[in-house]
Amino acid sequence: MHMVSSLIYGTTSKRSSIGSLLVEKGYITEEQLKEALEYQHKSGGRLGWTLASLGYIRRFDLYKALAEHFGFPLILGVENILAQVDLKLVKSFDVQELIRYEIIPAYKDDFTVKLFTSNPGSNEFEKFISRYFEGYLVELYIITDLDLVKTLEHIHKDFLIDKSIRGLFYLSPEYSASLVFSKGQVFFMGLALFAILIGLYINPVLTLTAIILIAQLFYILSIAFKLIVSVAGAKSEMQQFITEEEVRALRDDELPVYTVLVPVYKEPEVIGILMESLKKMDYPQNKLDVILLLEEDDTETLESAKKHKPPANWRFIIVPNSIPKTKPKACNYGLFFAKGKYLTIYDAEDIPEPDQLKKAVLAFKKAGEDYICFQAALNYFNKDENFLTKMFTLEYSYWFDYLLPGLFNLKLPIPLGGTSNHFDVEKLREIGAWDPFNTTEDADLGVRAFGKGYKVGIINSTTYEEANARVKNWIRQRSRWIKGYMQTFLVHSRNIGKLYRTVGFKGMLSFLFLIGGTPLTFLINPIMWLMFLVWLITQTKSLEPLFPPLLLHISLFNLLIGNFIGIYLNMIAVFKRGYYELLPYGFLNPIYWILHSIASYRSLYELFTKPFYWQKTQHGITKYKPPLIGS
Amino acid sequence: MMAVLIFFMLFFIYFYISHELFSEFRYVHTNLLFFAEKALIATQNGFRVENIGFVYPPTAFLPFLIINDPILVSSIISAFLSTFLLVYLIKTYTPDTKSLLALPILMFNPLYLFIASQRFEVYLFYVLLSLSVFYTLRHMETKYSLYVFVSGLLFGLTFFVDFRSIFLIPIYIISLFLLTSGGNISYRIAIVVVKITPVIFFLFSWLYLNWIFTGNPLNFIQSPYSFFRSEPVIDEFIQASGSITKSLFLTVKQLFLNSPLIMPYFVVIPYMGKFVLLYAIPTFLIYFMPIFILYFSTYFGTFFPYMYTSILFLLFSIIFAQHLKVVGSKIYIFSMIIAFSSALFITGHSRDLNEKYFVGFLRGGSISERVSKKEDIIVADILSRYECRKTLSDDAYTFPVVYFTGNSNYFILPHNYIYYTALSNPAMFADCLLIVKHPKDALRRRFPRSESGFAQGFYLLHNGLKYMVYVNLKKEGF
Repeated sequence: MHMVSSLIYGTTSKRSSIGSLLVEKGYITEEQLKEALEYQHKSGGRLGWTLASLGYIRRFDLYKALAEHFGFPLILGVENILAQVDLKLVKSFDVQELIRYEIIPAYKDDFTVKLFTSNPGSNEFEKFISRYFEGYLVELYIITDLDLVKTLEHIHKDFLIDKSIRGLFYLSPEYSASLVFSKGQVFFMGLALFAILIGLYINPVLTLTAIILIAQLFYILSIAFKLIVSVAGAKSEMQQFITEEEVRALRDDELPVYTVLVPVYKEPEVIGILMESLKKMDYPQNKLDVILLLEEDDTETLESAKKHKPPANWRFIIVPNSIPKTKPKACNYGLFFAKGKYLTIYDAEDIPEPDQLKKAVLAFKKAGEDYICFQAALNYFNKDENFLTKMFTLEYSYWFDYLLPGLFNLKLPIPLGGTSNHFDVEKLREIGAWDPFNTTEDADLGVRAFGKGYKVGIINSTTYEEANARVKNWIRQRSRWIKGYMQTFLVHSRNIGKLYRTVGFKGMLSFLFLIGGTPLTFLINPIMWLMFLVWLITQTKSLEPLFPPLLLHISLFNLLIGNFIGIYLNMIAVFKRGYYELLPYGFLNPIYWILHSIASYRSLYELFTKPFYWQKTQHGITKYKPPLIGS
Repeated sequence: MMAVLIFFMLFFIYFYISHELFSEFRYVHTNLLFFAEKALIATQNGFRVENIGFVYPPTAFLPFLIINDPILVSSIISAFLSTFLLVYLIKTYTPDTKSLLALPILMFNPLYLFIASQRFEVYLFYVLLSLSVFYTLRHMETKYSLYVFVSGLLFGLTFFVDFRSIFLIPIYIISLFLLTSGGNISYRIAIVVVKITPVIFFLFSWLYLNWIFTGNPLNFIQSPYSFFRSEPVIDEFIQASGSITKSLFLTVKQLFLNSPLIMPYFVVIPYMGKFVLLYAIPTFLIYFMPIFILYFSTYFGTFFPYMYTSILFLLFSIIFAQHLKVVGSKIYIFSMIIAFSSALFITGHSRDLNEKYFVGFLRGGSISERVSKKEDIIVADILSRYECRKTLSDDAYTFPVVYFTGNSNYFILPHNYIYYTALSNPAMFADCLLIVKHPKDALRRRFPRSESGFAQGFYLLHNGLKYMVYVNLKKEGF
């Protein structure tokens, strides 16, 4: 038995001794120790963890040495740990707190407490003792960090899964997409439909004209909105939010632990891309808390990931099988185990620019306390593969280089992109993290954060992804996104008054045109195109009553100027990126928009039939090899 | 705040001048009345914008659809453009006090005041073109894509203000291609594509609109009223039309004659580098754009020796002078003062009566009856007094009267379906006739003896300097 306060591990004075022990045991070489000490001197952190992150020591060896160094017994294996744990006692603690402190209180009587820890001697450990077990004699056992997580997962499995799925619902049910339509929305839609039917019965021409007028006015306002936002976004080119000088001036020892969540499912072909990129990140590896989130039934990705020899400080967390099987649920699950001050999400095939994490840290420092997230730009490494990838690149270049920075500059809600969004972990937890029922949980989170008084920013860094190169796969992916936008719109418009109060007039406009407007535009487009084509081919006069002069002029304006602006903005975005060969493809946007409309109608169908179904995007189908960024 | 103050100050100046001209001499430029009348027709016929016609560039008509007051529209648009130009140039280059001097000298140039208050569509064209060039230069300086975007868009918009801008496409292609000679070939092609895409797109949009509304996509070129067919009335320009060498000669001659008015333009040239081979300093190509416009206008027979064209040269000169940081130099300021003084005195010899009398008015003179709209107002008053509700008229010439009556529905005009039927049997359809003493006026040709007071079935009410008004003998109450 030991009084814990007398055992300090990880201080400067002890560093050499644990290092010497590891050398003595033959786990590492002298050179490796020297390198790790230099690294530690530069970036701070624990020596053992530094060695593990550099890949010089196995997790098992490290903990064996730690146990020997501190003179505590080492327990290996979840079964062995569970056999000694009083489940009632463990369950009386907040699981997140235990994960944060890396402690499992196994047993307690009136005088003694038995604790399992993977982080002995740390300040956090001391804090935990003084908070809960002041005056107790502490019987301490060393366990590995993975065993700690697995044990807590085992004990709290139901709780963790339930919180991952319904956490947001318990916190703020009004923000959960688990309810697709509210009663008010059903009533309103029914009323609108009824009014249209009555209108069509009484005066079909007038009713159809009114519908077309509303659609055209919506188009014109939407075009104006996008133009204004894009011009505001273009200014970002002139004022880099984070400069290269600022990144260079950043000291490694000032950097906090950064969690990287990597939710993957059946992606054995591409998991290596991100793993290799993460190894090359310009961020102290010992301060990277990389968590690969794998589904229970996905052994092939796990095997593939292991082949890429991740450093010992990376963790694999298996998300238990449950419905809905979605990326946001996996992320919520992973969030319980996050150790970082900040957190980001990358997809398996992502290639972030090496300085992205540092830029995010700087952005949080610069922007102030009310920022919850910074979104990096996304673009594609296989842009030249085929027509679809080219069009996708045009779209993303505009979206991330003009539209989102424009929203940022105008202080409007930003619908986050699927990956490379960098969060302040505490704030993320506070607002209920991701909605597992929303198929664009990222866009929803951006709007929700804004509604809760937080801001979302943009950082000038890019993550390169694999663009969808097959039409069917693209439509699947896009229909999920558009369905998510529909869900987000429905969720946040349940109480328009509240939305207005929280996001203001400008924010409301942005929400309407971007979140509501995106699916609506693609749903209306085919109807308008069809009318136009019928008129163009047949020159029929039968459509004339539907287009009185003023409406005709507005429609013509939208047809000519609206489409032109859409095309030209795409062109200028790829011009900015330097993808000059893609410029002529800007003119082919109308073909690409047809695909959007197909996906939109599929989304609408799914919204009613299977709203929470997650259309999985197949990655790894590109013939292009990813570029070696930061190598 | 500064921008708002400048806007109101300029607005007040333009409005005051225009208002004084109208209230004292009943003068307002004919072009303004032309736009106002077309907008009147469009708005009073169920908002049919197609009634504006698809012959002339449409941008100038659009503000009149919102405020159909020529003086107000002109003053607002010009004040806005001048403010933007002034504030943007100051903000971009943050000049010292001396450098600031050139801007007010330009803005108070009598010819500048003339186009700002009476020819806002010309002013709009000049400013759009100058800004388009300005943003191209800014892109060259900074490589920011926003500038190419804005520059391309502004250049595209010039097409909707003045169709002659399409002649500048080759100049832009060549100059941009040469200007970016340091970059790789794909960048050089890309910048040209981005720059000219809007103007090409707008050209095709215009062809499309012409097609759906008139059935002929080339209507704006082939129509008898086409912008491209505005025939010059001066012999030497008629002779130069279609001739490369004669047009060149006339262009050089015009530059020489106008040299005092555009002196700052010439002053800037030496600062742009040593005048070696043209291709080696392609900035010249962009700088020479006003000269190209002069040349092409002469070649295509759309040129008239207006002295206000000097303002385009001055705008180019000031933008390049700012860019080259010579705007505060003594020689540049001095040349601006010469341009200002020349405009004040040389304009008295202009062949365009409007600018001649306008500048004369600024010097304390009066406006001639020849350009005054007194008779137009009187005739409009007569038509109202006699309650003419179906006045047959060819508004190619009578648009000022139509505008002054305030109601285009009281007229049977060429865009009306019954116009040609009414023209073949006026006594049946019209209660009044408004005939212009111009050989090309449709009614004048229909009633060849009208100037002798004879039009079958009608009685002559008014016989003035420009117009004749006849009333139908069977009209009720007559």
